[in-house]
Amino acid sequence: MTAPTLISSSGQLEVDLDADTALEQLYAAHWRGLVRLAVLLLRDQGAAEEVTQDAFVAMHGHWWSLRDPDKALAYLRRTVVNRSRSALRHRGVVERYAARQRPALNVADPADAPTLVRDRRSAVLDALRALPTRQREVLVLRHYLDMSEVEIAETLGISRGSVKAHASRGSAALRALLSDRLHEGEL
Amino acid sequence: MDDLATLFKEAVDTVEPRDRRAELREAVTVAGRRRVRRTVTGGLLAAAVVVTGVAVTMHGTDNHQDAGPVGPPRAIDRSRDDRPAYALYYLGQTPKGPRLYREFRPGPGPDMTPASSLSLMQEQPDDPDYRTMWPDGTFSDAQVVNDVIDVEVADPASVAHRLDGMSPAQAELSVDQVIYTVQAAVQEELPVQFTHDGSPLAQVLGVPTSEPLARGEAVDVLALASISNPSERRVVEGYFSADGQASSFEGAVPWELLDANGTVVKHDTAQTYGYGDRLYPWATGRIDVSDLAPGVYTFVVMTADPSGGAEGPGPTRDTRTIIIK
Repeated sequence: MTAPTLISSSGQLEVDLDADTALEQLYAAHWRGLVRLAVLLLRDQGAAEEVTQDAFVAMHGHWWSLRDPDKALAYLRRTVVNRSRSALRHRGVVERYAARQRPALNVADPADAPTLVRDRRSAVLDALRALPTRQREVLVLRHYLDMSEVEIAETLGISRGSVKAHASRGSAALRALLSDRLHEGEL
Repeated sequence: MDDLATLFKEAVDTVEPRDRRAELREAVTVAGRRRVRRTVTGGLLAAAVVVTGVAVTMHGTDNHQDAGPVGPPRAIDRSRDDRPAYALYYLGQTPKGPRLYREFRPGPGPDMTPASSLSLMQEQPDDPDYRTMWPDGTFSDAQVVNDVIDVEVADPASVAHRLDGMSPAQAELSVDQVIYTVQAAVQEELPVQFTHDGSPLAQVLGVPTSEPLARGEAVDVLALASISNPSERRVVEGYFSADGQASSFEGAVPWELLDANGTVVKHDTAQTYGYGDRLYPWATGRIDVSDLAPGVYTFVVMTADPSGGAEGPGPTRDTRTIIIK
């Protein structure tokens, strides 16, 4: 996607870029991606948009200390992850009840590809929601945002060792959950 | 190959968030006003230090620099209103004949309109491998009327028949090019009616158009391997990742990174979860390029060729130029 050019960390732009312009540029480049990140963490799109909007407002307020699009993006991602976690905590009781009530996914007719994809989408989002929070966060940062262990550790404020442990336990758990729900041979 | 990356991307690739720019501007203005009151003691001092620091860098002096209104944002300049990315379709060559490739380009906003998408489509694409065969100025307008996208043709006589040097396949595909492009702008698969002065046209480029048209099936019309990200001439540092869609034998989507001499410096295969009946998303996961010298590289994705080139038309490819910093 072609978005307004953001000069990366070593760039000279930081002196010139004011908070409003930064907000507009970062919105253009990352709004959709960050909402999608929040959907992976929260499952619910409305809540994901709320959380992401709050993150942008917070970033705007901190721009004077960030003053760099790369730092601002890292800040936005961290804030989306943190606020998603708090949103889930508030929703926890309701969610746990809803999860028990959610009917098992139907196994789709393989000939019906769109249904299959829809089912796989919900299977992936359901399976992510079923993971412990840290495992979900680590997996999403690793595989959706392509972050390195070091970056994940910085974003979540945990050690590299913990990142490694959450990643291996999380991906084993996720694969187990998904293989129950998806057709054989799709994973 | 990173199967979780592909699954995660697919899980959210249809999520199109609502545009919240208006709420966001409102929220930061309110937050800004609140912050000014709150930060009179601490925040403004810190802000003044920052501004002084900048002033030194810029002017070599810290005299008479007004600390200024750092806390509250000034009104957002609406002339710079954000430009949404339009998905524009162009003809490209594949071993199966011409197919449509998609390119994203910023255009008039805040909401995308089919009219703007067509005027962008009539400009030349960023990717030199793509092209449009419609003469500039063919389409003067487009709008949604009663759940049909009316595409207004300025001079119907000039495009009623196939143009010189245009194959029947290119003519059909050019009609699909318009359908895909305006449908992308309205983000709905509404039928498309070619019109002049509001009346339906009997044919365009020799293709019958008296009724509203549905888009051609993706597997018949679109390139079987294409790149959505990165965009053309994207600058990357340390690493990048790529994604797109494909329908390739056994779901295998090989990719290569070539240096300026055309030497393959990285390669791997991404995996989709199906093939044949439609296009499926692929994603590379993280591609580490920190070991490569800065310069211009080409990222290539292709359909798998089970015969190894021994038979059949060979793979469909899509390429992007990337610049490694």
